[in-house]
Amino acid sequence: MSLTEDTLYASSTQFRLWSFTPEKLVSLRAETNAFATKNITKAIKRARASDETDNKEQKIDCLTMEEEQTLINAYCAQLMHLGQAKPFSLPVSVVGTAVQFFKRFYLSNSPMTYHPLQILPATLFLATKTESRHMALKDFAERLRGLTAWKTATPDEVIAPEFIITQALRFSFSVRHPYRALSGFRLEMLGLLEVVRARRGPAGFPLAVEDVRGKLLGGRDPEAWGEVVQRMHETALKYLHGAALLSDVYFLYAPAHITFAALHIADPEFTEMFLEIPLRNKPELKARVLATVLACKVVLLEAEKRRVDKEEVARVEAKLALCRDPEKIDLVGLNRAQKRDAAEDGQLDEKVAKKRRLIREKSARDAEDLFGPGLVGK
Amino acid sequence: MAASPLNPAAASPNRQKSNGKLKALTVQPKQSEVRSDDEGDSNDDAPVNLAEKLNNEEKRKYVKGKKLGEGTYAIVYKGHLRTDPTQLFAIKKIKLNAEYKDGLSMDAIREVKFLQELSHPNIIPLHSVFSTRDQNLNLVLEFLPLGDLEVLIRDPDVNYSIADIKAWVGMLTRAVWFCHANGVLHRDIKPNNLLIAADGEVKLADFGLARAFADPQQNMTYNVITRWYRPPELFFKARHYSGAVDMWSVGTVFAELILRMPFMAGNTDIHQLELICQAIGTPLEDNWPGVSELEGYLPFDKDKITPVRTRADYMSTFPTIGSVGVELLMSMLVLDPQKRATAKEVLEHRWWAEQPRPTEKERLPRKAGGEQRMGEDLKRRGGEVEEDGRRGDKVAKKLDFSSLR
Repeated sequence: MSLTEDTLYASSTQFRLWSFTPEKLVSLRAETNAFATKNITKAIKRARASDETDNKEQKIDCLTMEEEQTLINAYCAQLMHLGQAKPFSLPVSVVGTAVQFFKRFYLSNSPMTYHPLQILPATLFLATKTESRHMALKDFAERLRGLTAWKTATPDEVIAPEFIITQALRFSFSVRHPYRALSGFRLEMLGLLEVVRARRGPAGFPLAVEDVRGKLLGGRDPEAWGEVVQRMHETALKYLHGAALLSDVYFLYAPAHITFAALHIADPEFTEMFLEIPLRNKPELKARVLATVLACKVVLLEAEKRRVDKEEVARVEAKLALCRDPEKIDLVGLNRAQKRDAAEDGQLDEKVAKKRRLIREKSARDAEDLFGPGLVGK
Repeated sequence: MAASPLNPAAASPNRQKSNGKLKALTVQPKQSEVRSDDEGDSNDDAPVNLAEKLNNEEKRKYVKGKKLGEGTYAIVYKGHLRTDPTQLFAIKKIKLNAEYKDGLSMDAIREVKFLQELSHPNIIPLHSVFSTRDQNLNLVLEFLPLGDLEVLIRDPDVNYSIADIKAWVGMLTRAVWFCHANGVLHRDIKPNNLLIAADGEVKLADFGLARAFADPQQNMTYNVITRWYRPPELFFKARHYSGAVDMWSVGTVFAELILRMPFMAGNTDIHQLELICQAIGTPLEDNWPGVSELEGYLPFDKDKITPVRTRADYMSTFPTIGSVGVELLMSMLVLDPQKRATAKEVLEHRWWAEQPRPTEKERLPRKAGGEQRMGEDLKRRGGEVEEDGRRGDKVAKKLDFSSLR
């Protein structure tokens, strides 16, 4: 009757559905980009076919995968800020979940299909629901409107993409953060301090007190330990609250790896000594764990250095304005049409429903050509 | 079992495992499929993105059959695998509520979120989730044709023994232990959420009120758990609680299995609290330090105080399970949640090793015709009242979202 953290993690959706090798992650993004490029080129051509004034020869210049990433990363940072600042003031775990939802969404969707500005509030709203911090949609939209960038946001606009987001998330709503592992580390360390003070370990403790003193402390004063642990905890937390969420580490490593990578940044010597305790008789395993932790650390450090290049983002935004999927701009209308199908008749044959939907979408498109594009996400 | 970074397994890299896993990973469609849609064709039928494509593939795997039950929240169908009609499932279609303006409902989110993560022999397996184009969510669950524990408890034609009770309570406790080890509170344990599989295995279902353990400072709602199975701290409006709330429910289900009727069947919240005082004892500072500080605690009249029941009292109410069994039952029905037995402690109790041994699951009493019952059980929303109002076991269903913390 024992469950290790590893067993539990292995059955989680984060591991089963959302963990990748670096190569796999790149290939997924490349495919999403290729898929969107092809669909959007066709959609734009269709739209042009019905537009006499359009210059049909103009080249359709879609975003590259790198440009998509530039945009997604910039909006992730914005999402972090949006969630944590007033008026939302949500805990970082909720905002972190929203950021991961956002990143997971764009593994299978392109910003050319769904503009990040359309998706961003919905991921935050969904995260408040999945993390038991739910507020009424009306209140959410009202708070959102208090911010300059969102002053016209309506509840409908916030909620419209929720369904496509849940689908892209493959209906898995659990995000495993590394914070618990960090708390565990702190408790273990403070426990070890007691070991040193009491001059003997608890039953089954694998190290001699001298080893704890000698190896782990490396001659440092045990009474200064509390301070060391506190400092490491703070530094690690800074990385977990920032770089970890904005980088790809959640896709690449287990929560405990991410924690150890952050601790390794804070104090490499101490962290490696700490790993020595459970792994000292298992040199191969230790080497493997350490290699993984160090690889994760590299990703964290890179993300920490990364700054949003405003000029580049502006350039990509301008480019995006010319290669958006014209059929996905009015999400509110699309969503309403689908809901209408569902509510009208639960038994409605899907084919009939689809036909109706297509007709409605087409007329909505035609209307849009008449009155200009929707204002959502401009 | 603690989540310790000191545990080598906790820190072991998952690289090795990932290799095996990547094969199973289906996010990436085959190249040929992505490209199959030729240039110039109308793409009205083509999925917009990879996620939709995957969803369509998932949907095509199953065939919906006859309706097993319908409620306001969901419709339950019998279903089977397209490639193998002998592989049965229950497909729970969560109705999209056009009136509900806040998107996917909290019940649906909770149920899907937790069932996706929890994989255990005594928890109803969620095989798949897919959506139809009209935005309805479909949960493909294990088909559990033998009804639920409530049916067995109520049916006078069904006879069962202490050994059978031992098997059922054991399975229930293992499910609860697993939930708690995963940091999940179920918050609606009761006999009709305990469904029975074809092989007799008990499966905990309905995670519509479940939530993850709260962070230390975070408030939770006390408006959970069906009244008869709800622990005293929730009547006192405790906003910080633990797995102990579920363990009280396990204790009341255990008692109900023995008595073959609900142990404490209150008609109102006040009545329920009176019944708890009578059957267990009046909650006071001396048996529950700190209880008087809870928001909903009201001092009891001095002349109406019942002392905490002794083992002798329990022996006279539950004579059939013997003194060791009574000891175990009492450990789950302790007023003070801090002193109530945890799922792990219950599983380590000596009652399980004592004679009679728990019945093997294949030999447990059963009752045919549970198909419809499954439909009835699954169509409910977390804590929903039975439609005919037969039972007075309402869970507080007025979910006040602002207080749902």
